[in-house]
Amino acid sequence: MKTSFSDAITDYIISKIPPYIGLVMLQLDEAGMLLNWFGPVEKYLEKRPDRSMHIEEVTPYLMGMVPPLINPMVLPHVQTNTGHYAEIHIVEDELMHTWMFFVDQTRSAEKLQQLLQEVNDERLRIKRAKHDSVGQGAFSALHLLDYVSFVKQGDHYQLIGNIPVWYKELKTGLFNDPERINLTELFPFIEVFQYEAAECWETSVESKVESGIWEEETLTGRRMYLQATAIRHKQVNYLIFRPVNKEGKIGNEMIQKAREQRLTLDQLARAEKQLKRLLQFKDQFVSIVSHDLRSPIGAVIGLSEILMDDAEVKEKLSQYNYELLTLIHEEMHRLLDYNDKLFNWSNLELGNFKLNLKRLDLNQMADYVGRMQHLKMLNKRIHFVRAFEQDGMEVFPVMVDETLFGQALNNLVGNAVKFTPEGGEITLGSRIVDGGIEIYVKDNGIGMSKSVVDALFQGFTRTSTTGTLGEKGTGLGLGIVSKIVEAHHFSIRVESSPGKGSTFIISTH
Amino acid sequence: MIKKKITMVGAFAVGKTSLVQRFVNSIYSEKYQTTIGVKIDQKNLVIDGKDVTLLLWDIHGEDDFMKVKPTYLIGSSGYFIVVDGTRYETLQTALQLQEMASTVTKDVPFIVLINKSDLRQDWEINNDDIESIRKRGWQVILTSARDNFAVEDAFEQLTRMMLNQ
Repeated sequence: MKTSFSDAITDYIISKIPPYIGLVMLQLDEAGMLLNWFGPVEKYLEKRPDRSMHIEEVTPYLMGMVPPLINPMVLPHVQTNTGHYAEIHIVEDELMHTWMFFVDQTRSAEKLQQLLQEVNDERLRIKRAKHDSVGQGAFSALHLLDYVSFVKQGDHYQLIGNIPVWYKELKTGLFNDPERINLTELFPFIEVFQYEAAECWETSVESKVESGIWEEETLTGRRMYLQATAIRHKQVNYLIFRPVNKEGKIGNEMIQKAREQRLTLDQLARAEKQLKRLLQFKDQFVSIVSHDLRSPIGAVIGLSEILMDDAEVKEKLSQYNYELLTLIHEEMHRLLDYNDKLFNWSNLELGNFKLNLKRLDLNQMADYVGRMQHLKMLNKRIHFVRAFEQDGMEVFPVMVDETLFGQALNNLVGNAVKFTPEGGEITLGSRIVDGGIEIYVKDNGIGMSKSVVDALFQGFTRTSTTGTLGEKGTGLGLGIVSKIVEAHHFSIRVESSPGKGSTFIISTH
Repeated sequence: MIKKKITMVGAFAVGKTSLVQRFVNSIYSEKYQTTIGVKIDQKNLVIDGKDVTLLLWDIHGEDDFMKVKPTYLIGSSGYFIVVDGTRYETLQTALQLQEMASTVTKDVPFIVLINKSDLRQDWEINNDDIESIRKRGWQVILTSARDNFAVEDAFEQLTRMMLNQ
């Protein structure tokens, strides 16, 4: 893109547009003809752009939007025909040129869609349930008086309203298909009563008939006595049940006990459900926020690099100010690293990953980890050793997801580098024990006390994670390792003592 | 070729996307799929001998979580306000959205669509409610995206109103 930005557009880009690889930028002249374009335009443009084209040829969906009626104009979450979502910024500059920026929002829109879908589905479900109850009149409220009510439809019975507490104590799994309940299978006694009931239901007037009392056993082994009533009301046939005592009076004591028990169970179930939901919301929130934080953090890093590389700026800044700038740059890198770990951790918690299992190649894995930690090990003159015990095995019989497992080993080796003094040694090794295979990362660093070891793998830790050269940590690395190990159905343990180094051992059997 | 932008506004789950999909692609899905942001579709039609291309901006539903942004309505030649006949509260949302839309669009034509007429027995909006909307001078059409009832008529009607403006 050979063009120059006016000051106003430069300011707008810096303040409003996150710098990232997928950004699409278009420049149009005052008549809306394309002048320049930049980025993966095929995501948002319906034709390959050409300088003789009008903007409405390539983005017909933005008809009437150029030049912008308000300046700048921002359209969030515009879905394109290719299924991408973008925030579209339309900005006019002093030369009456229009600039368009397409910022990808696909990921956040998909997350948002998922959340809102759940909420809206629930709201519609409540509305429908309320409506259905109202439609069935007073019979839908009989559960409040401890009745369970059915409407007879052909050969089947349909449940009306809710289920009273005692009924849940009596039977489970009754309502797998509430539309088609076969009551005679559930209560064989009804088979006898239904002949009397049929007479009642065939009359043209309002009528009712009560059954005799029969006995059922509750799930907890108590006896319960029941009575059924067949009712014909407004040309509709109903069958209702209620618990009674032997003499035909409603068994209040039994109901009370069952209700109390059920209420406690319901409360516990509700609390558990709510807790799970909150945890999931928290993870989703963290995942979205950490994803969206990448762009502004990246922007600050990029801008600080520009300043640090600018000879003129360097000349003008005092030594102290230049050191401050360097510090900003370093701290932002650390923040980015922390943010990436947070993102990985929340996605692992949410289960947003799929294992692509391949045979583990430890040499390849060691190459990767060695590359990732090369600079840090070089700084501390740490010797990186490989010790793979193959014991005559031609192939290594452990299956892993290379990306995730590589991340786990990288975190472990990275940790070892932090806590190993200059000139130390770190070993990535494997050994065969009891017919199984263990992979380990061993260092001869500062080691850990028992209390520190016990607090490891908890996701977040408040224990200091400062390294031997003052390296700072996120406290998340081992939590991520733990999640990855768990996802592979492996286990991890630590052998460590202060001053004698640590060994993290992953058992793959 | 005449091009016109039509915007669909209304509360969540009133059937805006279903109406657009029924009109543009002749399809209907029972599954409710909440819309995020805006999805833009296109449909060519001939009205009174004139070729017209309609750009249909299907905007997410208004609710406590997502408020409709006025910028979506900029450049509209007309709009539909969609109401779910089975949910009275969607009529109240519609009235609020109409105020916002008329401010942004400078009084372009619009039609109120009371959707889900296939569920008429479950409607919470009665004839008096519909009459009071009509008394405001607003055009009201009862539609069903599921039964394909009056959907095409509604789009043709609004297009005529836009062309005659």
